[in-house]
Amino acid sequence: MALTKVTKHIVHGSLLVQFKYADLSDTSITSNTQTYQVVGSAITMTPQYGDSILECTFSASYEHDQTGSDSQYAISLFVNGIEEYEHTQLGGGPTGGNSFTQHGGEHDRVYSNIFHSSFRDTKQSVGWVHNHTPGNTNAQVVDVRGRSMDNNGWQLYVREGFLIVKELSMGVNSGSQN
Amino acid sequence: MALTKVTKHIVFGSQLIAHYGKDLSDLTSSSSSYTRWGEAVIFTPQYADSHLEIVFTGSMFTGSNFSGTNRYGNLAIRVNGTDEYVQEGTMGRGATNVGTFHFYNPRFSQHNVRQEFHHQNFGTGVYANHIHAPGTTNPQTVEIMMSSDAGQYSIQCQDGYVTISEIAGNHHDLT
Repeated sequence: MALTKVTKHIVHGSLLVQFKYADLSDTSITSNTQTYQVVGSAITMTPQYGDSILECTFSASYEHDQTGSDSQYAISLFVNGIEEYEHTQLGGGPTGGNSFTQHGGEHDRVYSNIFHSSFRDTKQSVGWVHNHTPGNTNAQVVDVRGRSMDNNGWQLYVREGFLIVKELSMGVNSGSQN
Repeated sequence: MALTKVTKHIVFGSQLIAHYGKDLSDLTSSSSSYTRWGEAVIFTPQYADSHLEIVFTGSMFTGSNFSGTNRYGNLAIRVNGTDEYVQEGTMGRGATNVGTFHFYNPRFSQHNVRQEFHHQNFGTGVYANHIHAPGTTNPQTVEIMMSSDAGQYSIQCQDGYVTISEIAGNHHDLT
């Protein structure tokens, strides 16, 4: 009897059909239009099955060095140029301040003032996971992009980015909550 | 005819060969040298062409009050003594602005005002993932390392959890 070809269809559960990963080069993002810019390079993966899931995981650290009362950033997952998943309001920039009075001056005037100070040089770990279902076997270009959300030209640094893409077959138990 | 043993080699795709998860003990450190967060994990690959997917989550917090210079915490995934993946600046901020307000007019007892803002009590979740290709079936010692970029900056590392998945090398970079 001829051997039956073993495929994902006769194996119980989900198979990791293929996987790729990439060390993303450190990227400095300055956009004067608050539009996304790519971090490092993309991973291109061609699904072997039309019903597969692409599991995308990413980790990095980011920094912004702007002062201001509201400096927020987004780092997101794009597939074929379409935003699939985003982390927004990263960073932030709460201001702190307190009032004081000063005595002196001509006629001993008393001035009331407030000094404000804003956080800057924020650094933080960032990471996420997302499942993308392409629904076809066309090549999927997966990349990570970042942008400033509030102010044109504000700089965002993304460092030590690491992106993993796995094709998981849609197995018997996928999607169920056992 | 006896059945052939089914191994990873005759199943299309890459199999998850082994999986391990560990809760790491909390650590408080102000050392500027990398210090291990909790315990080391020793993982022995079953195949030399496997890839080890290492995923780590935890939280870092500092109650230190400081100003003047930037203060950050760092994180690394170390395998067999080599830092395979490093995140510099996983938490923390630069000192806030130190402002000087110029009033100076000694005739009327006016003097410059200098106000300094400090920041403290910062905390954040940290996340790191990495894939390590050992190229051997020798035991791999995986350690999560942290450091403070200044000796006086104490960081509390809590709730660390690391998972290691051995993925068969088949079909890495298939397409």
